[in-house]
Amino acid sequence: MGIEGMVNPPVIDFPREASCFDIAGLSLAYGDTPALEGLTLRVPRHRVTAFIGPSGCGKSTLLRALNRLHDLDETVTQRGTIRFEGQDIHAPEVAVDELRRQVGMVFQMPNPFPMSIYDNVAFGLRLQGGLTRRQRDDVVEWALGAAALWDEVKDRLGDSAWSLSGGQQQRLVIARTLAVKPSVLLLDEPASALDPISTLKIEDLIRSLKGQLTLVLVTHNMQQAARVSDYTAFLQQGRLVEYAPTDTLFTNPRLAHTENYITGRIA
Amino acid sequence: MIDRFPVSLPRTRRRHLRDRLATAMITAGGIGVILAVLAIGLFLAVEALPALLGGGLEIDRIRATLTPIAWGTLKAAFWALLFAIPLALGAAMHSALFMSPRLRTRLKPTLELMEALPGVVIGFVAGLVLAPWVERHLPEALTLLLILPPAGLLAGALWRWLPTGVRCWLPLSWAGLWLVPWLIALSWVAMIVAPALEALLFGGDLRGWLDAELGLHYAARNALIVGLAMGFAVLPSVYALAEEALAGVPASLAEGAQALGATRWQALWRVVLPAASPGIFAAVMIGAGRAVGETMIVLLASGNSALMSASPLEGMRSMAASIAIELPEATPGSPDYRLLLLAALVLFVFTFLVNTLAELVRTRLRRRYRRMGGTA
Amino acid sequence: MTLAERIRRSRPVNEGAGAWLAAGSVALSLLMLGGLLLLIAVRGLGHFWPASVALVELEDGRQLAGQAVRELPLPDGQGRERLYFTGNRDLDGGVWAWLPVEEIAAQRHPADLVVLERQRWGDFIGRLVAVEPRETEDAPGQSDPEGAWMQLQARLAELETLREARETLERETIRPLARRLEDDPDNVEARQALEAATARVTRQTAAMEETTLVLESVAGDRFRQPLDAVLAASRPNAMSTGEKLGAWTQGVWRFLSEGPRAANSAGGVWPAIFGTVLMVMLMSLLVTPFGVLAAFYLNEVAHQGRLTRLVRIAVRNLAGVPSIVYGVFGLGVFVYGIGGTLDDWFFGDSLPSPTFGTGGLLWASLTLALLTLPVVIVATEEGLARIPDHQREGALALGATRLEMLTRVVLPMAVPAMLTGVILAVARAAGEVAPLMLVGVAKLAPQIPVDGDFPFLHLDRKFMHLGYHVYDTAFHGDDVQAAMPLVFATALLLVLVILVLNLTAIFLRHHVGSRHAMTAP
Repeated sequence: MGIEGMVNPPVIDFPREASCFDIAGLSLAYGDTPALEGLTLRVPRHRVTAFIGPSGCGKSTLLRALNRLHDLDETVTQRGTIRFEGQDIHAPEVAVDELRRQVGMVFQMPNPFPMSIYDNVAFGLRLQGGLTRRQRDDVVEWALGAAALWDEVKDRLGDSAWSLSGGQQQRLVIARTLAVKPSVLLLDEPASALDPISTLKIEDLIRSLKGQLTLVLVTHNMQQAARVSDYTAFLQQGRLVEYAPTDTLFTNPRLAHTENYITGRIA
Repeated sequence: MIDRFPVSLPRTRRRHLRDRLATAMITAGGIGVILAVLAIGLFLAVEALPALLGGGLEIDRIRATLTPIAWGTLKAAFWALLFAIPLALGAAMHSALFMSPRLRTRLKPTLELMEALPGVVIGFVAGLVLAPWVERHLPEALTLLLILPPAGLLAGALWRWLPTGVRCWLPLSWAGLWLVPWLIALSWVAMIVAPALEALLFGGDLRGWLDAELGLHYAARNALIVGLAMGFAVLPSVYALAEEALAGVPASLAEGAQALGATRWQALWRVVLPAASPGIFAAVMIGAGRAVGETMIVLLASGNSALMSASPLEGMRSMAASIAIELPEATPGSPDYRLLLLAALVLFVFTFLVNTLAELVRTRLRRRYRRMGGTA
Repeated sequence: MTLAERIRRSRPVNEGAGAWLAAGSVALSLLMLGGLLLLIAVRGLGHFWPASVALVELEDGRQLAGQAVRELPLPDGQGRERLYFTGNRDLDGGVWAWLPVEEIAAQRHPADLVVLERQRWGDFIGRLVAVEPRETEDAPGQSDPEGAWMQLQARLAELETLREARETLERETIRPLARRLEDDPDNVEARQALEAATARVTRQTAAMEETTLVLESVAGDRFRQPLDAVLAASRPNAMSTGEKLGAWTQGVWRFLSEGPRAANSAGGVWPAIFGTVLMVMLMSLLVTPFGVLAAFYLNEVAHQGRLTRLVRIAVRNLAGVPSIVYGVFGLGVFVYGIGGTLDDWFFGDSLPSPTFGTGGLLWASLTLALLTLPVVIVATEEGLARIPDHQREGALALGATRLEMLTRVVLPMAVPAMLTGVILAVARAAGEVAPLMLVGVAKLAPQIPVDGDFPFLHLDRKFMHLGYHVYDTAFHGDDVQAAMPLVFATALLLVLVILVLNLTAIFLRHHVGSRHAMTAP
């Protein structure tokens, strides 16, 4: 069965009070090329939700819509609503930088700024201002500790961030994001550019953050999704195909289509 | 850890205001600067065109004034390009495909430095050192002109008969460097044989012969000297662009040809050169634009007489030189002033069009290389 | 033939004629570049080396002293002739002598020949007979060249101190007093102080004029030379190599630190160095903020549509528009347009002689800033385009506004590119002469545009420029032959300045940019 013909995809629902993001009828296009079509789902608070699907299915596009990174691209057109904790994020009174501070994001390629390790972590704090030097030092130490990086870099906080290894850089980026105390962390294939050991460290980190933060993970690695996430949404060609608790989706998918994908019969 | 989602804080509002203000300022400033730069064309058109269209100047006068200097400009540019293009393209082909990478990374900044040599210095050396020398040593100069270009050829022919050990010491990939002493040696030979050649072929008086047989009068500051000097000035930019075009051709193309048994030169000539030809065309165009607008070299080395002669051994006067000499003396608003502004407009339009053409060609070429999988 | 035989060759693959021709053109380009640089360096630096002075005796008994410059075959091909620099313009009317080599009977290098650099009439080459006070009119007694030479050196040193004292007095006492008097003509105290100072200067000048030299050319003409017009004296034939090196260093230093003399054909180029540097500095102050602003607008703020692409191509192309066209624009818009209006509004009392309505430092800097704007814009834009988008997104994802992202992340990363652009612009501007001829360069402006008078920096003044100095001296000088060594030295200086600037740009591009780039995962 083709996914175009689906009327009611099997989608798990959460009560509005328990959901962090409430996405309704979201469609998005790059110029004339549609990327998302009529997407409706809720992301539960303080859980790890994974978006999976083949390349170009729109999972990264969806993730970037959650903190309005598409604002930068003038060719993007968008319909539908996204509510964050009940607030429509496209409402005119919303300050997009405040939204992005609340909804932190980690990218596929580690992107530390060309500054020292300390300055990278303190970057967001300095934007906000209002902290004494001492307080800032404390937050930096806490964030690096939360990202499991403190022990590795505590003696060289003044070194260039680009002198770190790829896995360390990615954890630095996570620390940098945690330092501004977001309530959501969006992770866009955070481990795809890393070696297996660094990947494991990132996954441990994701598990340790759950419970304090809402985490949304985009990955093409289904084992990873199965290992760390509580709920998984399967997207294809810009549509939501199936959304269920991770255990259910991977062991007992409702649709044959989903099963074909997770067993590797379709790419 | 989780705060309430704040919609808008006072501090945020202040930051936003600053952001919007700064963006507006960057926009205004940027547009202002760009308009100021583009105003050059507008100014020239506004000042010069009314005179042309409104009949402030008779068409005969325009023709009488502009024709000789336009001729001089084109003549100077022609000789400069005649000298620069073969040399620059040869150098580009060698450095893009044959040269050792180590030498190449050093050669490129060297030729960039050559581009930065001020025109006034080149013009001074051409007009006050080279011109008197050539005037005194015309046979030697002509022999040098004849002997140096094919010097590489001669070296190649000799190289084949060298013992293998020596050949390994003198590889083609370093020929750009080890041919220099060879050229110096050949120049020395040329200086020695030139008087004998002159005696043999022209009865010992080349200039008299040129005058009598070909009707060519020799002026000390002539098109040949200007061509040599300006060619020297134009060469680096033509080289840089042509090299970029050649080196940008995906290596797989040349490798494909070599896999079929072509030598590197055959691969270059049959495959790489046709693929890069738009880029080379752009390089030549840019060179032409520079040659037409160069002022100081022409001023110092051309004699500045407004002659309409096709002879390479006589001088000329170019538009740029005319402007530099006459404009400070002209009264603003006078017909002379407007005529010179018209000349400037012609220069502007010509170089602008030529450069735009070259830029469009280059942009398209880069896109094509990217499709072919190169890294231009 | 077996396969193995087929792929074996006794001779290496010959790439054919074309490959060798191409290699030859690289070698020829390098040869020309090297030759040009060598020529300028040798002729420019060689001038300051104290050349030995030859005493030439001709077949017909005439005697001549001079420095050999070069030798050429005679036009008829029969033998050669040699060019000597003989100095003594006041005695002979000229400073050059071409002598057929065959007619030279003997050539010696006697140690007692002196070369005097003088304020007027150029160099003197000959013998020093005596040093004596002005009053004595009788002929000198017995000649004592060695004693006279020692005396001359002592007096020259004294003279130097006196000259400095007089200059200090003029600069620090007389000029401020004169200015005070101008403002307040009834100030008796100032008037008296001024008179006293002037009297001191007069006394010092008299002291300087006290001594005269008795000189004799090798041809036997004897005359008196007031010492205060003598700038330097040397006996090149008596100098050791070390002393010559010292004299050479001194010569180079004086060339760099003094003003020009004798219609730019002698002396130094200090005002031209100062003018070039000042003009280029003003230009970079103007071009850097505007160029960077335009680049940021084009790359970071503007809507990336068709219009922006067109504007970008147009700006790029303006870098290829001939510099003389910019000069025309500067003359028409800055000098005649804006300058003329400024004069009408603010300097009406000094009209018709223009203040800003003529070429000057400000207009020249503005014109060159416009000329180099495309260079800065293009270089900065390239730097901005090299910054990966995920750096910008990273900053935004932390809640930065666009301004914060630009100033804290993008700008620091673009600094090397900006610097490269500015330095390339400076290198280009330092070598441009054509536009300056229209908007404010001067043949001779010994007064540098910075002094103690309000407003200290005189933007309306004309200035000297190294490149224009080369052009003017080589093209319009009375005696190009005599000025050539100085032109070479000036050209060398200009080339060196530009070379250093370009090398700095190359260095920046390769090293500063890569400080943070270590592990690209």
